[in-house]
Amino acid sequence: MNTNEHQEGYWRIVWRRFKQHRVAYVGFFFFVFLLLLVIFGPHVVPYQLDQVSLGKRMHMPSSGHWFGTDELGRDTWVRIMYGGRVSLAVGLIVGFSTVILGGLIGILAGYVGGVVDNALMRIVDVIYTIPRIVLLLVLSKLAGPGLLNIIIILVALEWTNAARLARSAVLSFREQEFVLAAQCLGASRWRVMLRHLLPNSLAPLIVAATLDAGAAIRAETTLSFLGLGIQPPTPSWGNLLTNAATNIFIAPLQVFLPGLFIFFALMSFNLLGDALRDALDPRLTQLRR
Amino acid sequence: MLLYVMRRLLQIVPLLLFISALIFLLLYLMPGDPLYRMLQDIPRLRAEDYERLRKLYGFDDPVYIQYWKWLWQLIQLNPGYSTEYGQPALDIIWPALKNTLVLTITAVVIGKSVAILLGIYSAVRQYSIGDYLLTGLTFIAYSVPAFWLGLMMIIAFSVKLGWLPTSGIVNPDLTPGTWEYMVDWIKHLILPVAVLAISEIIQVQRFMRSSLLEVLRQDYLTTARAKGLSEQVVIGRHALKNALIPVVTIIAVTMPRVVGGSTVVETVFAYPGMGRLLYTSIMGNDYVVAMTVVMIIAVTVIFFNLLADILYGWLDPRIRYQS
Repeated sequence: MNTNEHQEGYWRIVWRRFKQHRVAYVGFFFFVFLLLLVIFGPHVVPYQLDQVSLGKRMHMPSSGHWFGTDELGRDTWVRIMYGGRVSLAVGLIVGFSTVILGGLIGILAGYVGGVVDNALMRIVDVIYTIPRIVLLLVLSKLAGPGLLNIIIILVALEWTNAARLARSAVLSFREQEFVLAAQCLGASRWRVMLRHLLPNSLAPLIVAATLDAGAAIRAETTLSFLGLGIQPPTPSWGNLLTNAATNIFIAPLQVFLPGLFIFFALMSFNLLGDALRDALDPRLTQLRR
Repeated sequence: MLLYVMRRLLQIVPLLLFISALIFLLLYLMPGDPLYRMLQDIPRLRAEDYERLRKLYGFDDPVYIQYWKWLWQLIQLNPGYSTEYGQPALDIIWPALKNTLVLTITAVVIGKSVAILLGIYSAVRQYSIGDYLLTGLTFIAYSVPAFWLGLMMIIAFSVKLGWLPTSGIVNPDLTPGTWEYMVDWIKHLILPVAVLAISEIIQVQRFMRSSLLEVLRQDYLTTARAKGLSEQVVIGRHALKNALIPVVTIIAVTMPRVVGGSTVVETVFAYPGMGRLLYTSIMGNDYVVAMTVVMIIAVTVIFFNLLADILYGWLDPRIRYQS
């Protein structure tokens, strides 16, 4: 490799490779599309979220009601759009929070090592060993329903991925020169961790955030399906689907539609995660001409 | 190797103790004790009686005493009585375990063998239309929530076509042992098995593909081809042996689901198995059953994790554990 050549910054390389990734486009398009849809979608039709009209119960889609109506004659389009705001918000908030929490814990464990590392990693082991569904059921029953409780529970269970990734990243460059240099210049532990170790372990964490967001939406909808997630009247894709499932014989479309949006959301996060993984992979960085 | 296994087995004990204590504490913190649940149906009971019974059964003991009593009973394989059904917890769990095993073993055998075959196909025909199609399909299927897939299958095969029943294990009007009983039983299994098998295929197909691709690049296969062996022998005898090693360990790691079942799939199809029992027992404050189910699942998870590590070392002589 010619070192005199102009060195492109890491993030510019990432951006270039992300742009070249066809899968990234699809995922990104899906995500932006969903986001715009749930933001503007409810306002393009003349119905309110809880506008009951008993004369129009469980109608099929029509020019008046694009997605039909539910068992109380409420417009399904509007309900799915509002539900999407909640579900996507849960995904994004949990995705960001798990990475911040897990990232910091992982960096702390990897850098400080010793007893701290051992204790933190045993906690991770325990969370991994107990099947996720057990913890989800027990914790959500204990905490009670509610948007904030769901978010806290999901963060409490999902930070482990990010922690493992950050820890292994830190372990791989804890002894490298730039860390030693920072230490020699008198940087405090926290400064080394936050200014030097954190930016260098960002790549796997960003991928983890994307995949965790998808996992959070999946978990929230699953919990809602089991009657433990976000409760009506707050709509979410999960509880809309569950609510419609009681009338599956009469109005199967009302079950299909919320699920379709859950699928779109999971798909977009998974595609983005995959594309970002390819774009951020540091092993590929060295292959550039 | 033996030393390694012994050390791992020793590590299991504190892990199991910790998990059991954690779950016990969480269930202890839940509102409503088992006694309250049991006495709800007796309206004549006064508050004093309730307090007296609480004392009698030790529900006013500190939590660590209660935990110790419970643990001691569990070690003697006597986890206690279900408050929901008034029967020994194990009598409730056995039929559920049997139901789940029928469902999951069928799904795992079908799902994993299809996945391995599809994975081999994808790897051998890398970048062919079939490979792209399979990769795309598994990626799409990976994003489909299991309960939605189950409900869509109910819509298609039960509501629209009317071919298959929506829920349960068998029509209670039929007598066991008859031909109709068997047919009805299998009909009830098809949809839940399909949903579970699809999720198995998604997980293993990709893994099999990448594992075989890794092996196909290696020199010893070029040697095998140079010897004039047919492609079938090269792939089937030489490549597969090594490619299957990581797949086998992945299969071992996912085996606890065979015992624990899937809460979501069993709920969708109202199938009375372990996953459903876990859910109903936690929801119904039936702590004795819930704790026992959780411990059974935890033990299988730990056991199969250990088995996976041992298998990995045993199948692949290149891996040696330091003792």
